Amino acid sequence: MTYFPEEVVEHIFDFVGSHRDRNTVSTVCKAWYQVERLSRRTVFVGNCYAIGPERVMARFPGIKSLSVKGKPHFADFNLVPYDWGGFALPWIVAAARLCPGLEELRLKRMVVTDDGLELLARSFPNFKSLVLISCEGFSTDGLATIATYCRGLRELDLQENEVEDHGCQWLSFFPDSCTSLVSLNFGCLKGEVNGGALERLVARCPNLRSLKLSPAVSVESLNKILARASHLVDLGTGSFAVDHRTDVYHMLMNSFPKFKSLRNLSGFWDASPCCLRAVYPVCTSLTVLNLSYAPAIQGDDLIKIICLCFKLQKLWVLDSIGDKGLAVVASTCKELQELRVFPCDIYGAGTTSVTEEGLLAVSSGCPKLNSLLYFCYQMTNAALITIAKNCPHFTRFRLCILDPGKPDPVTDQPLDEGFGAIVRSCKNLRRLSLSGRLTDQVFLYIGMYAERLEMLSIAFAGDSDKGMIYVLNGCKNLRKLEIRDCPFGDIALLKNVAKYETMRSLWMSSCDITLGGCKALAAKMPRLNVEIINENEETYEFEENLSDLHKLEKIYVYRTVAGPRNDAPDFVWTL
Amino acid sequence: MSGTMVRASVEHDFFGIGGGGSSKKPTMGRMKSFREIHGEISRMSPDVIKSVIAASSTAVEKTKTAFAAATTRLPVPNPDSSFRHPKMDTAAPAVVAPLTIFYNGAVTVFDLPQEKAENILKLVEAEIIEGVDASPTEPVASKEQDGGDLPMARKMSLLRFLERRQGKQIYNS
Repeated sequence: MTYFPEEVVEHIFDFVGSHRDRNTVSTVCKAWYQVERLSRRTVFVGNCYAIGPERVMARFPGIKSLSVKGKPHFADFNLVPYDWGGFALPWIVAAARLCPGLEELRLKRMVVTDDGLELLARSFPNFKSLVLISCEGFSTDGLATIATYCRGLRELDLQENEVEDHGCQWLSFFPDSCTSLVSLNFGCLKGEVNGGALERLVARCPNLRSLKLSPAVSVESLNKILARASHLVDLGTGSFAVDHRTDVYHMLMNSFPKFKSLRNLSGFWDASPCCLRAVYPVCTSLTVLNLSYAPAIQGDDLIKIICLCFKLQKLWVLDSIGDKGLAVVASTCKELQELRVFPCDIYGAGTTSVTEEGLLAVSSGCPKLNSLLYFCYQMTNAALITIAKNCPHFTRFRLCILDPGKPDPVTDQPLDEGFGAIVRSCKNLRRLSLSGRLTDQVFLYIGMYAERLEMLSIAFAGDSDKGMIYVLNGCKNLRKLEIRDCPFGDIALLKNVAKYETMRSLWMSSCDITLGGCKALAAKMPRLNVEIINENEETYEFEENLSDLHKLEKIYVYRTVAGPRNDAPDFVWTL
Repeated sequence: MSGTMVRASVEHDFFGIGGGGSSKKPTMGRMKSFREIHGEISRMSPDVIKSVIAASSTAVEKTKTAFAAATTRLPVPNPDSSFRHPKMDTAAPAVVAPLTIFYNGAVTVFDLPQEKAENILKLVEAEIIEGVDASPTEPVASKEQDGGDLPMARKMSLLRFLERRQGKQIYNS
């Protein structure tokens, strides 16, 4: 291949799609490295502190699409302090300077400011797509600048962000000349929405295929929008509750039948059962249905709608569906691949919730099931063993038993055997979250069998350091390990330090790690950032005086080529 | 809750929550140590302290009954409640009031909106029920800190996860 001209090599690399393959290709020789870096169009940075933005942009000057992730996953559970870091601005600044051809930016769990959004809006003339997931730090003013300056914007996708509301006018900032929108999602916004501006925007964007509204968008507004957007494939409704005696309700009932292409439905904020009937006409062609924001829809109404959805591939519901409703899913949704069941109420045992029976039924009836997030109050080993046999194709298996440390209620045993069966049977398992009473044994199974596992989440599990050691010594594809409230200490932390350089990150909180252990780790592995997050104001001012035996509340360890970060707040020490 | 409500003029920021609520930070942010909380107590008027100590001599029993009583006393927010203006449903500011907790000789004050106070009371209620039902041989895989903190910590972080999904608090029904 060294005798081929560069254009030919580049053309061949066009067929090398995945990030990993392209990374591998670039390490073959200098010539390939050069061709690859100049022809790379998409870069994914899984940890924004693993490398500096300038270095990325300098290596890949031609990128059109950049994806960066900031805070560790446990930030979703409030375990990462508010001002820990993950700032987007340095990335936007570097891209503005070095990669002005950027067209797409995707940020997850990062702090994005209005200034950053304005810089973004003004710096990239071809900018087409902005996706922000679980980000914070910006307001509707920032969205207004995106609307104003990004001519030709195709996608604005805001998922579960914390956005400060500075008024509803940001939608009006899309100029009349903006007709290019394909996807608009502002479901996470809390403030009022300018209905008229929204309706006009939808009306002038003939390519709009995905529209997800916030709870503030009324049914009346929705009716008007639906009248102008009959090519939608993906709809997230706004508010979905009106009195059935009104004209608005009757219009709603007649709004859906004409949608021939609608495949995804979500939103249904506080939906009422009688309004839900409006979507029955499109159920038979739905592939994605998300009713998890509709606590007023109880089991029987859920069953009525699910009975119609025989093409469903992805279903998100609340546990009010009950085992009975899941049995209906099992008998109706034969194409189901992903199921998420969220809890309505985490305070008590709940009269309507799901148990192992519901999951058993789905595993038995839905052979294509490969992705699961299931909140329940109990699980048995027997059920897990059967589920593992029924569904060997799981790639993501996240089980959250709401009582920490709860054993199998039938046998009073830990759930080691059940989860062991899952990892043994599901050879393609990439992501696993454990719960319930678990001993070191489950980690032995995971280390032995979970060869493709990339992400493991552990809470309130294990008996000793051995548990963590089994995982670190096995699981050769492990990338992210997050642990909370487990009896793992320095011995486990230091047993296999080289492993951490093969991983993206390790999070441990409320375990038995000491300052001395972390110091030892940092000393042995200079290419890791060993971050200690110490929110106890009494001790962080006197770090030199802390004994090595001092137990650490939170640590975050990650490989990096950028050295200790320069934006760490006072309560984060990098050893 | 005890009958003694600490009024806004004698406000002590025990937990370092800070004022304003100008940014949407979680109310249970960084926690001050108990030593600092006791420091706060030393700055309070002696009369208040006396009443606190008197109240806390049977603290545990009173706490349980007080929480149980409070749970039934707090009104559940509903659309017809006078707290909500019908035209401002999405922008209605939460009514913030002090929640005073007397426990084991220490007093803490939170300024909380009604929903958050309800959530805390529900959590404690659930803990009380759980505490009664738990068998003494129930294995606990995690270490004990501050007695009973763990399940609450887990529930708080789960609650936060679920709230973030929704973008609002709906889990108080």
